[in-house]
Amino acid sequence: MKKRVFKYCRFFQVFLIAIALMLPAICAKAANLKLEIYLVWGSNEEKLPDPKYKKLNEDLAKKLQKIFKWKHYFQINKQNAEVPSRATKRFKVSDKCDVEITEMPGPQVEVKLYGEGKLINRTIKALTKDEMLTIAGEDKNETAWFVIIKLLQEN
Amino acid sequence: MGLDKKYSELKDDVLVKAAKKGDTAAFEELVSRHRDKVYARLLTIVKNEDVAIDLAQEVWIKTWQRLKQFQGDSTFATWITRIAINIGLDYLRKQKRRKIESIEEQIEESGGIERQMPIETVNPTQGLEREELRARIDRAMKQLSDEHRTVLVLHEFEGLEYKEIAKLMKCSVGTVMSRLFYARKRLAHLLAGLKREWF
Amino acid sequence: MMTLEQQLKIQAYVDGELSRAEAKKVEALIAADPEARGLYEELKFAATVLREHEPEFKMPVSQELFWNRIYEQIKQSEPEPIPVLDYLKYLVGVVFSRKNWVPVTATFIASVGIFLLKDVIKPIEDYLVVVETPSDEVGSYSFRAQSEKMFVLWIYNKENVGGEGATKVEPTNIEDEILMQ
Repeated sequence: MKKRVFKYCRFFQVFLIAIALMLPAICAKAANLKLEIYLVWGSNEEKLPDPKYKKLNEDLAKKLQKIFKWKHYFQINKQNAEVPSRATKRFKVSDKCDVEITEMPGPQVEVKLYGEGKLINRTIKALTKDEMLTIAGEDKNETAWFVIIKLLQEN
Repeated sequence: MGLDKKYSELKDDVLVKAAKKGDTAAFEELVSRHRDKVYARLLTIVKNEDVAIDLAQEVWIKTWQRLKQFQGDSTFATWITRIAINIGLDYLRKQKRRKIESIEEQIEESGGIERQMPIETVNPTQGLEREELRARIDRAMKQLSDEHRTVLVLHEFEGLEYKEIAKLMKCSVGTVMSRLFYARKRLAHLLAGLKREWF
Repeated sequence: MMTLEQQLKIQAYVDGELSRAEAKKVEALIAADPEARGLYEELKFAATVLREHEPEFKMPVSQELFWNRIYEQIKQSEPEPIPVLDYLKYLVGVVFSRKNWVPVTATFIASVGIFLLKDVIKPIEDYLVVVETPSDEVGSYSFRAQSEKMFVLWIYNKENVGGEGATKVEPTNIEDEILMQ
């Protein structure tokens, strides 16, 4: 009788092959990320000293109003960004503030916030289309800044 | 499954390289070249022809299985002889059924009667036929205990140092030295009869 | 009468296992003591006669017979690989065999179930958050505002701790609890 390499029961073999075929769909994939990055200013004043800054879009402003105490939110910077799979990219959100994003295995990303060149904060978190990531803090004159990262698409 | 003529012209390292890739014909040539040496080494250790043949077969099968581990640090002949020695020594260990050695063995280990033997002033004999001398040596070696015979084989035939022998025989260097000493004394005594017979 | 230690030293000298200093001592002993010289000659003879007359033995089995035995053992110990095509045909036979319809259907349903549930059963890494705030002057805390689908990381100046809170919404769920960084 010939020796067989595989000695598992036949159904387990069929199951294994079925799972193997579906693994690419089941498992987290390496992905190119398409993002929107906002720098937002929160204030209780209706207008900012610098008139060039527009009010933030209504949907996003409403979300922030429900969470935070400030009444008015202004869009300082908005950019579309793309981070390739397993790559790191740095984005300038203002003269003093940079955001560096690394696409990691699984749904996780690493976000580093730099203020005036210094690392302020490092966060590793899953980023999904269902949930935005906001890094925020208070500033002078009872205002606040918000860096909002929104995942648009994974390829 | 006859030997291809071209293999007989190749060196050992070339044959080993081919055998590593699964060329059984190359391996067959290696077997043909070194089987007698392997058999001889095993026979001097185990003293039994049938056992030596079975162990020789085991040596070659293990060699085939471990070929990938052979990096060429030594010659193939040296490497396979080491495998043969290990297998021979393992066999001897398995054969040692007695947990407590007999008094005779204890005496032999410590030198016993050989300690009291006068020194044999024997010179290598001239005029004796080489084959006859070899046969006498073989008979004398068979009269030694396993440990004494093994230590002589490893030192005189394999050219191993004391510490290498100690590692193979799983004993101390001191034990190797005393076994070698008493083995030589006994051998000299057994071979002294040669001189007295012929002169 | 020599001690055993002296005798073993002479042997080690014969075998070249002594250091130069020790070898010189033994040479002096051999030169001075006839008993030592006699032992040296005896041991040298035993070593030499063996080395020069190693018994030679020919295997009393023909090469063909010996090789056949080895070859059979080698082949038996190696598992026979199944050609991939044969294996696939075998599996197809298993899947489409009538008598196997129950386990095959169960396997298929289990596989589809795992596929469909992959989005429902979130892997644990989706919930893991790592936050580092290297500066001594600032701290951070985080919370999840589930209704607004937002994860917030709030950075504050440690000098200002105790002031009016920035957030309107206090985290209500244990999962949304914050760790002061």
